[in-house]
Amino acid sequence: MSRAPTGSEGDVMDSLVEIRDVYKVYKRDSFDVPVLNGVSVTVPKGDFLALMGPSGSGKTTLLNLIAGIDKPTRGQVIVDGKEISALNETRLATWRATHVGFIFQMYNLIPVLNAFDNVELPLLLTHLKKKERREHVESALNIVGLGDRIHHFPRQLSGGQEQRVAIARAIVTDPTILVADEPTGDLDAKSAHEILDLLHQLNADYLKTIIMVTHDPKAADRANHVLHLDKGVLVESAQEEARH
Amino acid sequence: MRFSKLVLRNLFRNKLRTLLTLVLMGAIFFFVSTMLSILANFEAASNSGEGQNRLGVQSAISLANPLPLSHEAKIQKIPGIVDTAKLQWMGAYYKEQKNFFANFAVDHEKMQTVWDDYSTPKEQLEAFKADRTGAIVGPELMKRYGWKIGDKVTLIGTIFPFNPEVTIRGEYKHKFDSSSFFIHFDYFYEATKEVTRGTVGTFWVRVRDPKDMAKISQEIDEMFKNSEYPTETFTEKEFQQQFMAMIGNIKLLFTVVSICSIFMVVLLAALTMSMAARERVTEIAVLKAIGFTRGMILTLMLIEFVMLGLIGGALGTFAAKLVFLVFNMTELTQGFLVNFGVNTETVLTCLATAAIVGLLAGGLPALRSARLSVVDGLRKVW
Amino acid sequence: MAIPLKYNIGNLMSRKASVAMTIFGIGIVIAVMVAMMALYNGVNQALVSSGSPENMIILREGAQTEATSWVTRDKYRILGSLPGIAKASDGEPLISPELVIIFKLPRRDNPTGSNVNVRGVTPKALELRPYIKLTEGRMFHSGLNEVIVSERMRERFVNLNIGDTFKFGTHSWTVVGVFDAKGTSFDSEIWADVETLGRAQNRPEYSSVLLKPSSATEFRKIADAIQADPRLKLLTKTEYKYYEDQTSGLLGIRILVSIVAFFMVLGATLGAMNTMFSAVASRKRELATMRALGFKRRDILLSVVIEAIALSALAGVAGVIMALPVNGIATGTANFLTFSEVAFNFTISPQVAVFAVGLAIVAGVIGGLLPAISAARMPITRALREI
Repeated sequence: MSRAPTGSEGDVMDSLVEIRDVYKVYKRDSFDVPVLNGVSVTVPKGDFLALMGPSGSGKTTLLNLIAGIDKPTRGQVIVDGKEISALNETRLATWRATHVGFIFQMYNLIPVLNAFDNVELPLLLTHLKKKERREHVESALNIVGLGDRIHHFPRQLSGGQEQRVAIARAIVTDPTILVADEPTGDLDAKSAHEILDLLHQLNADYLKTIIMVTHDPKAADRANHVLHLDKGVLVESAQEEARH
Repeated sequence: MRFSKLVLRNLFRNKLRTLLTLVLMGAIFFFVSTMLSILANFEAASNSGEGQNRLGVQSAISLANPLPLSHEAKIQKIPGIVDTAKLQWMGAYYKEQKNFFANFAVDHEKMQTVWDDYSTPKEQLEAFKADRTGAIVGPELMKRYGWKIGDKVTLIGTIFPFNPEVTIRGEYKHKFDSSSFFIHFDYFYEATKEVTRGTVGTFWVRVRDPKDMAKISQEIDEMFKNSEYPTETFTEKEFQQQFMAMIGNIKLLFTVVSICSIFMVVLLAALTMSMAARERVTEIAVLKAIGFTRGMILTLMLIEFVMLGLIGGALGTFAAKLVFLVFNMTELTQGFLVNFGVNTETVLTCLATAAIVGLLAGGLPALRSARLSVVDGLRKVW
Repeated sequence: MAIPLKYNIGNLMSRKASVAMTIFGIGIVIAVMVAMMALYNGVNQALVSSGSPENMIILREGAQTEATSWVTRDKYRILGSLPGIAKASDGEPLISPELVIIFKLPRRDNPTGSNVNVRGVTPKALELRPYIKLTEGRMFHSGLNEVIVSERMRERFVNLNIGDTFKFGTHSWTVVGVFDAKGTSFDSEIWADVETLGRAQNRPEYSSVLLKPSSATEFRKIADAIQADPRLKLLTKTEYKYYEDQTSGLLGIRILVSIVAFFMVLGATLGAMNTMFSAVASRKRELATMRALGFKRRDILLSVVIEAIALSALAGVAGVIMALPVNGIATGTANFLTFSEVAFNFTISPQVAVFAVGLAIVAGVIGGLLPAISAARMPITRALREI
């Protein structure tokens, strides 16, 4: 059983995310496919963590558990003091609305909505009024540098721009954590670089806690810490210090 | 309200597909609203004499058999009767056979006592009564043939060898029936004496108290039961309905046909909607990841599908309403359908049905979408 | 080389549920259309082909139907003495008076009753209409209150079995026989002895006279003679034309049925369009891939159209099968001209079935063409990118 090198045992107050001895088994037809085999991790507040590993290693599954879109077969997932692995589906959905920001490889913007409406989407789940929502959206779009593309539709944006809209959507509710699954996977080198700069900025300047799955070493370079997974367990590796 | 943009934009996501679905729905609901309107029209026609407390007396052998004039005196003696009148259906036409409308020979004195709901201005009624070859005509007929009061009109007889030549003396107003034509019974009888030989098609009886109608009806039939000319007495509504019944079980036919069409729409719309839902698997997974609950997804999708149904149904129903306002169905059906249109009740029924169609068709796809596993939905990214 | 049929078959098999729903959905509408056509067919058959072109029917001048016509005995005698009438089996002229009265009888599905043609005839009527045959019981005896009824009438109406009695006014009539009139309008009638009927109903004269001229030339001569005689005031027609003219009284039901059939066809076409469109739309990438592989635009078009034809042909057949139970059902409607019942059977003829399937296929082709064209036209790159 491996453990993240950061954060000592007694430092529970500082850790935002705690994974305690988590197992995940999927059922495919009649087969049991074990994906995570006893993983424990703690992620301190304000960390920028990269999860790496070969295909099938379970890194995306781990991310899903942290994000609350999946539940462990065994073990606990605690985020900001709350045991989310014990919540039912509806409660989990409501929890995600205010606590998690998602960034996907394929951006996954709603094609029939423009940039503004896409970013506004998570805010529709809150009690904010129209005017307040507008303020948050504009502020988020400004942070990602797309203040001038508010009314464009996804098909009218480049890949890099789409991802920025997606990031704006992810931060608009000021969530507890940002989870990113291969955020640069579909981008060219230049756009990828820009996106990573943005993520770095969100972490350094805005103190957002980011957990990112990637197979791109250059992306992992930008993170504060890197964890390697293989065959569902953590693997020893050199520790990386944040580089600015 | 805050989700309205999402719902609406998704509705018109694939414009061509949505358009096709709407056209299909529209066509079917145009049809269904027309069928329902025809049924409603028949029903309204049979209610033409509502509240008038009239009974129709015809031969028990068949409506085509006449009754002797002498029956009237005996009927008059029955207590509770305000007045009786002779009414003969003439079945004549104006100039060409296709110009069909209801024309009758009636006791001119009795228009006021038995048929006062066919209200005519006093002077016109008096003029009619005074002129043996006078006629009272409904407003729709006046308009249809461009007649004016004072015009001389000749009708051509079919059942009786008699072509009435009359002068229009008055125009009546009636809540429902605007297309009838009345001439004097005396004029008719005098000209057809050899053929009618002391008989008439029907007698109509105005009853004072509606509660007595069933009793008086029975009394009349009892009176003539064992004579050579037995009678059958109906309320005005039953009298009208016998014509509909003659055609056949139209209600059943139309209902079955409408249900079959709606069934088809539900099936086909369901197919279209599941395809639409399947397209959006990733999107729905993203919404759920962001925090939309199952219930929200279900509701949003159901609203979308119900709206699709409603819009399609509304298009068809209002198109039908418009068409029948613009086209004069009375002319087009040669007098078969009078006062025809899609009334409010039919519109509401069709709209409600359309919404239900949307619900039924979209129910399963919406449910499946709501139940979608987020992880599986996101995995579909390649 | 065209896209192999295996692709189409594979497609249909892999979407069994939606294919079934499509076939059933469109099929139901086709079934209704078939039923409407069967109704229309039945109504037509009952009237047209009634009456022989060789018989002459004589009515009062200006009368449109027998029910509103009368011919006095005197005139009948004059008619009987005209030269040129064919000879009956007993050597007498083949001429027969008829009296048509409308009776209201309780119908099985309409207990308040329907108007039925009761025809008073002489035995010569059967000679004038040789296609009418007694199938059960016997002919009525003249002078007695006896009737024979058609098979259809017995089926449709209450109390018309052999031995049953029904009443009009003060008289009772007994059913003594059943006849088959080969689907003509006489299959909607009850026959009695003309003199007995006339006495019972207080009708001293006849409704019409039927006679058979010995040749076509004699037909014209007799017609002219009647026309020329100012005392008679009668009109003549071939019996065939008389029944043909009756069809105008069924205009109402024919219009209704046509409207329904039209909308069913429209529905089937739009339905096919919808389903084919959805099917093609969900396969845009596949089809674009095939184009990238080298299949031509028209191969795509053909493939989609073939699939549309297959689906709609199946729907058409399904529709015909679903409508089959309706075939042969005896029903009837009123001819508002004669004011009496026309009994007929729903008749799904082979032509109707073929027409229905053919129509379904045409609907499918039209329906599938639009999405097929859009699939063939779409630039390959764009189609490949869509999920």
